[in-house]
Amino acid sequence: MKVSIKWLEQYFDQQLDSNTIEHDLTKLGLEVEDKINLGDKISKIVAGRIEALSKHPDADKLQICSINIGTKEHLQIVTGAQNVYIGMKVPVALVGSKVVGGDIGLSKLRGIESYGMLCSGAELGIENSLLSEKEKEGILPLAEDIELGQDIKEALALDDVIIELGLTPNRADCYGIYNVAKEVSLGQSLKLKKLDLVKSIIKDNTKDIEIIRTDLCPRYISRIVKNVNIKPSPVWFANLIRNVGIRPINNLVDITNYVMFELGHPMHAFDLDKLEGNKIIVDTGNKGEKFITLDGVERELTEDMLLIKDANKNIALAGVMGGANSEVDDNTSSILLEAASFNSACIRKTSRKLGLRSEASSRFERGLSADNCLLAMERACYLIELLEAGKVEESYQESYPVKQEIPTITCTAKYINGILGMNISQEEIIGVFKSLNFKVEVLAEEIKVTPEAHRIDIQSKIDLVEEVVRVYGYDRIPSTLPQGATNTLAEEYTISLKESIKNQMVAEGLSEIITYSFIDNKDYESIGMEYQGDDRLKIINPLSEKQSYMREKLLPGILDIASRNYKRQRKNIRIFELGNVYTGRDQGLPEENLNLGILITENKIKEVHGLELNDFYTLKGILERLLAKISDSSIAYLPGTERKAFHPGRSGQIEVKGDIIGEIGELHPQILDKYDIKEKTYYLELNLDKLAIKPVTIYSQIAKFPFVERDMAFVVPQEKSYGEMIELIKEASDNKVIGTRIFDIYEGQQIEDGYKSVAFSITYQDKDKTLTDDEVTKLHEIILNTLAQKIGAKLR
Amino acid sequence: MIKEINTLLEELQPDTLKEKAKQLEDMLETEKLEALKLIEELSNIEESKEIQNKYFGKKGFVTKIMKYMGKMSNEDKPLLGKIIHDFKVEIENNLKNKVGHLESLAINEKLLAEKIDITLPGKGGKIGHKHPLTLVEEEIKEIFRRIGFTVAEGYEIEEDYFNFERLNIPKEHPAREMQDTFYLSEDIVLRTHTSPVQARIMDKMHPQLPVKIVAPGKVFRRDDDSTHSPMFHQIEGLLVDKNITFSDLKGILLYLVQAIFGKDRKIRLRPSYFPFTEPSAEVDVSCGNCNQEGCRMCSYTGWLEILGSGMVHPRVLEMAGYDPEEVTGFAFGLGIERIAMLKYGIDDIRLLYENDQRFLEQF
Ligand SMILES: [Zn+2]
Repeated sequence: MKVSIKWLEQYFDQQLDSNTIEHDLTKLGLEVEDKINLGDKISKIVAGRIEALSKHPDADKLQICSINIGTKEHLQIVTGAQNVYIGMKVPVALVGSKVVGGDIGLSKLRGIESYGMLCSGAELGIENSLLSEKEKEGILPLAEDIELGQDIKEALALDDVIIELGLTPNRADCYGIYNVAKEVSLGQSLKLKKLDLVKSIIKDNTKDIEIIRTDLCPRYISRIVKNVNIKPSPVWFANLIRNVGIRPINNLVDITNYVMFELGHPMHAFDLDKLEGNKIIVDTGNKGEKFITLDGVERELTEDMLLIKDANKNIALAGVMGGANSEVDDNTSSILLEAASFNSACIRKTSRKLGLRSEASSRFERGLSADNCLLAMERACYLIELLEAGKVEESYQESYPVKQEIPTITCTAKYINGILGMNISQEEIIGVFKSLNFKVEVLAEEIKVTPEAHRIDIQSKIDLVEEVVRVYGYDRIPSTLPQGATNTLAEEYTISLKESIKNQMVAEGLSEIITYSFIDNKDYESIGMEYQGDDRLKIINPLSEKQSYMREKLLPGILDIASRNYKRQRKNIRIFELGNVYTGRDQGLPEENLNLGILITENKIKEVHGLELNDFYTLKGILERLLAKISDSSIAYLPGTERKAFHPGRSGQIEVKGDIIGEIGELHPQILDKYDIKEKTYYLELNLDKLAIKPVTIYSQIAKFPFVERDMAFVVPQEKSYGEMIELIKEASDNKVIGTRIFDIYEGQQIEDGYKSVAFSITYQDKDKTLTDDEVTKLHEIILNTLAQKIGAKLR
Repeated sequence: MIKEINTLLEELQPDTLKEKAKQLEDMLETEKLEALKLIEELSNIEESKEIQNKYFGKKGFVTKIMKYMGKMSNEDKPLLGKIIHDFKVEIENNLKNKVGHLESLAINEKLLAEKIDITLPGKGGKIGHKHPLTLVEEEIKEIFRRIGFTVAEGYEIEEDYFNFERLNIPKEHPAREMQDTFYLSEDIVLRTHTSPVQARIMDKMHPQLPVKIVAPGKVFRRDDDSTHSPMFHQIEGLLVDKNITFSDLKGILLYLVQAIFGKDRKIRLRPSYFPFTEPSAEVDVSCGNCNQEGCRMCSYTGWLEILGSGMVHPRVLEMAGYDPEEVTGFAFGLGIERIAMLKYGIDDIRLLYENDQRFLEQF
């Protein structure tokens, strides 16, 4: 919302300082997003008139102008513009002036001296969108009522300062500059002038206006203007309109725009002669009906769109845009002015459905006070007379079936101070309400407040607290610390678990990444996950296809980041992400699961201490240390995964208490190829929900008796896994094996084909006594026999 | 001198003992100085063995004079005993020290041959790094744990009901436009803020008091440019109890800001609007880059906007079952990206999601 300081100054008896206004409005809760000094890039430009024109002797495209700038001597200026003519009033940049784009000095154009330059709108810093087609042609034509020699900044109000407000939804009333002026007066305790109006006599409440959908249109006022005289608005008026970002068109359109910016209330003008049946009807339309709006576009209506109709046809999309069939044009002699109130939700829906957002609809959809309709009408009528745009009829028509209720709210100083933690006196509180122009009635402790009609945001006593404190000043609130009982809510274990996992990962030399929770469906395909139809969580309105599905795995995001880093010549990639993945459910909210993904690359960087490549076991080591820290369950690794993302011979599933909680392995070279990673890469993804149970530690006694360590080497068929052997050793050990360590695996020379040699060191201990040599030997034999029987192990 | 002393000792008779004692003492002193000099000049362990033998061997000098001592009558012993004892101990000690010194010299000489270049890098990989957003989140959680807040979390995918309606944002409320929302279905959204945790926790706690939480987490809005990311992180704070005031909110926010940015920082509250708080405030922290002189970072205002806050709206309390006449509360929400960017001087939010290791390793 643009607010012009010059516009504001109309309401006060003094000039305003834009810095003070910025400060005050900020303090009062109207956010100043920007402040623009319109003419700060131009200087020494005056209004002039072309008195004579002649062709440049040596250049076809140049003309020599004789310019009257109100002094005796005329200036000789050479211009290349083609839209100039004798008698045209133009902006003249004098020698030593500044225009947008440069400094102007005395120049010679093909031998002819030029004492300045004629300016276009752009050279004055006026936005293109604020210029008419004619004004865009070249040199900016100036209106007749501008005096020769007058400074252009003054003439076009380019010495104005524009404040851009970012309004919050509760203060839609401040889309009216007059209501902003009320805030300004509040800040500086200035007296605000009353608006000049044309008061009116009511004619008939219902005869000419029939509101069918009173739920969508609580109030409709119309008034007829005859002898319409459409012409350009006077310069001062056009300047104000332009400065708030609207292109001046003609006096009538400018007036409705002006009132919309002044009071925040949009109005509409119909060509009275194009209306039939002397009647206005407000009703919803029919599905499939077609209607051509002012902009010439044919719109297809639905049954919930509110329309203005005459006796025979639709004439406007209520609150959004008028119809082409009742448009005011050059031949218009009488108009019907509309000031109405429409349901905000209805306007929003209509404008959304049609993809048609106008200055009017954007105001109506924020909610406007119905009370203001009459004010807007009377103000517009005043301006019509002031600008000689027509003759306003003395009476107006109105239908006001649903009166706007302005609440009277009761509060006390005690209540207000109780919320604020302050001690503002009742007198001061009353003073605040009065400064806001609210009606106040005091009954002992009770303060009864009736806000101004346009403040539809004031509905309950908490709204009054806000008014008091914003006017009183947020800077006067003290800082205290809350007192009170102890918090009894315990923290969920997952929260600290996440922190300790991250700590552990960092200690392992992994860096944390954070990726978007939404991914491209193609990402799944590229990691070899089957498309599972519609059960994947899809965003209805994604920003792009690339961010349209909720992730079910962290892998796509992590792989993408690994690839990006790899492409940036990063060789040793060690990253992890801890975050939620999502799966749909038949009912209710989707499931959110906490996953951990870790990716490391082989790391072929040579180092002084020797090159140790990362491999599967490096990653597994990281996982083992993590699980040792956060879990007391035993973990099993099942070779092979169903996912095509992994190397089929170097991957497996991670199992805890019978549940598969993750996968670990070398990523498939074909997948890596798609991501341009040319190094072996290892990845694991783990679901932590099953592990989010705080392990309970209970001390067990340290064994009193010595242990015995014995080595054992045997040959087994090549395909037998370490996991199987360990299981068998445990089984056969009668609880007397307290540790096993595999220290050698060998295949090749001296070992039969299809076999491998393995060597274990086994630690024996009995918790109740010292084991004798014989006992250990016996156990050792039992173990070996078991291995021989079950998996064909042979002693070496 | 040894010879002379031996001769003297051999000639020593009990009746001449007294007169010869002084002479003996002088001679021993001379011998001692000579011995100490020899010890001092020792340059290796081998040489020290000669001295050891000369004085303490089976036929050594000290061994000999000790024998004379043995022959002496008990009343004479004190006369020479001390002199001889001192002589013995001093030489013994000096020799021991010298030998110890020579030994360690010899060991060190051997060790020096094993010298390594200690300026070479250490073994094992480098330490990893937490994401800057995590660092900020963990810091803020700790700041609030210290003053008795419980860290809680909510759902990232939320019901429209909790994300909006329970926060006093009914359907068709203009405030819905302040936060452009991602929808999974008509009534399931990606939460646009961490505020639904307010309603979730109040439901869980009701009717107990206080409700005192901070809730960090991911949030999502349909925005993507150099200052907005479609996914970002917030921390929500909520304190509902009897007699909680706006001034308490201000006090807590001052504590928070000074804990994050330093004791010298100030805060400024500006009136603002959120449907679920009233009165509401935008909170600015004084610019630390320019000490409020005005700079590009603070758009020459001296203030940096960091969070939104306010008193919990009575409707929100009511919907959770609390009586707004009995109970009040405050809530605040801050953007973790915003804090991280201010704290670490990061100028483009997209850096936080590019996850370039060269970026991450700086934290
Ligand atoms: Zn600054």
